Amino acid sequence: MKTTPIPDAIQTLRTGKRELHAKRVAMSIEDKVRQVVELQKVHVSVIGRRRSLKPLERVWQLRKR
Amino acid sequence: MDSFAEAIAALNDMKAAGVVSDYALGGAMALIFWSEPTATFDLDVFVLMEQTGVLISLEPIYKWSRARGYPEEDEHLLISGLPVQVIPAHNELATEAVSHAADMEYAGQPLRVITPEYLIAMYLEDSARTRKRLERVAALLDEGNLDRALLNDLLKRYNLRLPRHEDDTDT
Repeated sequence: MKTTPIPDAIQTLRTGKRELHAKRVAMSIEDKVRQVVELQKVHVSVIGRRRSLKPLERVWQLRKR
Repeated sequence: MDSFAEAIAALNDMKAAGVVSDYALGGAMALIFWSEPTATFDLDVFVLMEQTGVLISLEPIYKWSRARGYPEEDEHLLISGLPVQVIPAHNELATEAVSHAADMEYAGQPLRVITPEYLIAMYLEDSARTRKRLERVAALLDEGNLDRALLNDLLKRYNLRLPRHEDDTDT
């Protein structure tokens, strides 16, 4: 069955995506570093299923002292 | 203080001890100061240090690092568990990038970060121009907070070119 995108819905999605990017850019640097660690977890989980991880491809332990 | 802040504090100590005359965070961790977070696993730290003879010796850095008990892993120092690659500024552009780095702060720790215009220029050098880095160039260009005059100046002086679809900075 052929479907036709609804222009308004597509526009809403695009706007939402732009806003999401803008929010991520505007995050505090502390939050961005925490995001980097979350992205490392995703990378290790996804890439680790496809190939052996390189020695440095490990999640940072951002422990507080 | 978390591990990232501890690593920054160590870099500041390295500068204060005179091991390097200046440093600046580069690579993907510098990118996050100007754009969205991206997955990366190490810190690239460009340094200015005294050159004796034709070659730059990393020995003073390793000596300082060993005295502080930081383990080494391949070409990285492990500072508070974070892999840190210390890279001597290898050409005029890198030297200029470190000298013109921005003074930023993380969790109360001051740190020097290479600015987006210089990051773009460094990513566009032939030796660094990979697909991943060109994606980072695109991300920085999308932010729109660039000093276009400075970027154009760097592109001109260092004979660099933006990827073709982005080659509109003169307009």
